[in-house]
Amino acid sequence: MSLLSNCTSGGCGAKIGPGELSKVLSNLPAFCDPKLLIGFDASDDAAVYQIDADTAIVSTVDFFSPMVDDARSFGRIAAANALSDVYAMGGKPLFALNLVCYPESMELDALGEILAGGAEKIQEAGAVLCGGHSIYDKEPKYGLAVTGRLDPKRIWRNNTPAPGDQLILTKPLGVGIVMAALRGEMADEQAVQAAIASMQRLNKYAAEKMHSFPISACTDITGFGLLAHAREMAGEATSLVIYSSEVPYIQQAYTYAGDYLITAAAQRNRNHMQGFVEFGDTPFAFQELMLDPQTSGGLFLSAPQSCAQELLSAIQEVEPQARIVGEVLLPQDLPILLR
Amino acid sequence: MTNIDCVGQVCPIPVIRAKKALASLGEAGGVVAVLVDNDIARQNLQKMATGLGYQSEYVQKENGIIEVTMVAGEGCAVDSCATGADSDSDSELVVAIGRDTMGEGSPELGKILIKGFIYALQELVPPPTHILFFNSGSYLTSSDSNSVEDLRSLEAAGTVILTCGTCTDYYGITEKLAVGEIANMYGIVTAMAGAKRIINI
Repeated sequence: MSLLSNCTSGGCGAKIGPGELSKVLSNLPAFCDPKLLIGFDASDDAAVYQIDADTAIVSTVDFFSPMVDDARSFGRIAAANALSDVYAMGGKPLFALNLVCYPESMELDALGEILAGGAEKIQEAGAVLCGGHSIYDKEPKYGLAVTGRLDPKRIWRNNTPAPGDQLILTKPLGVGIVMAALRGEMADEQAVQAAIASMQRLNKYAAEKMHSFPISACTDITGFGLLAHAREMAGEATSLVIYSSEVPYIQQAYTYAGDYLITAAAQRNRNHMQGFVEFGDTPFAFQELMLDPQTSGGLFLSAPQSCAQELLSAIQEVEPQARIVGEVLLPQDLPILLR
Repeated sequence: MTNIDCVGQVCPIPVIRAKKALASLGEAGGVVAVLVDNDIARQNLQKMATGLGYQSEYVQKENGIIEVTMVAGEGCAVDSCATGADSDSDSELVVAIGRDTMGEGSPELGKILIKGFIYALQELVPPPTHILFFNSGSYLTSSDSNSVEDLRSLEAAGTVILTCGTCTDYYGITEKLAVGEIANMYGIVTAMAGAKRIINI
């Protein structure tokens, strides 16, 4: 039995829609603790809790069902995705716990491969694996709870860009579209390999380069797609311009999008973004790329114009596809403008 | 007519199967009807149909099943080919408008198109039984909308005009409602469920 045969939807495309989620979350009580520097009211990537003047811990959890058939790759992708939130906050991962759901009827060998793939990434991150929890479930799922540390004076929030900043995206878009094409048996092998390599890639390397520069805001791209994260980053105080022709993407994904190899999650993202994006005359395929659900997506960051080019060059040493994809403006009619 | 059952299948599979079926019709054209079990798949099918220049419409069936009908080829209108229904299905048309623009592309153009669309609804004989407005579509029944006059004349011709109350609350325009009534989701569902045909914008 293959990993995918049990799954109705995989990866971050399986996230509960942002609109639906906020409806439920708004009914929860508000927790208050001055040491909680970033809680879930901020919709940031991870929670940050201050220990003392120089130390805060960053905590995050992420898991999903498989989006690839190879168990080892799935383990790597799920772990890279879970670790990413720590990097997106400006932190360094310290330790991780496995979260496992697995069908009783499936061979345990594949589970071993998933966990081995996850462990590889935890090692690569320089963190330690220190336990976990596993239960039987109809669909396999895997992920991590990750704890990291960061300097409370140097938190990269996701909604604090400054007008005049430039925006950088570190990984190409389109992994959701390529995986949709694979599901439809219309993807070519090279595109699938590019998507898997991108999803397995830790955001560690880009983040390490960023630590030498002033960063106004940072987040990582998830199943909500680039535009939803851009809107979150814009907040009330700014609008973001995205230059669609500058956005990096997996080459074949553009063609697949034009062929309507599109996901349910991208359409949910499109519905959610209605009224917040001025699409202008952006071609349909570019729109789809920017709405495409990313599993283990790249970092999306805002940095002062004075150092943006130098920062980009530094990031490109480790992430050659990184690009400056837009800039930050004072608030306009809509939070996101595509040019 | 080609029937494709995509119940239980997730995107992009329904879109791929529909696209292949439409392409295989060749120059002669024809009709492809796809059954899906979720509205997102319906939206993706219609997005593909619109993008590739096919006419499309859909009907809500029992148990959450939606039938999306797409027509390839010229001179073959959806309502004559696809439903093959008798003349009294010309009545009981419900128009659902979930946005304040029409089509993909420039919002400015979209606003002009939706105004024209509502204006043109007045030409239908008989007029739609219901026009439902929700999400940003609810701006169209507010006092700031330039479609209010056209909607009032539709209302005078017997069309029931309902606007989603959750939506007007959300956008803070409940007090500005200028035509028709506020409805809850049950009212909207009932109108849709009773429709013989739905145009969804």
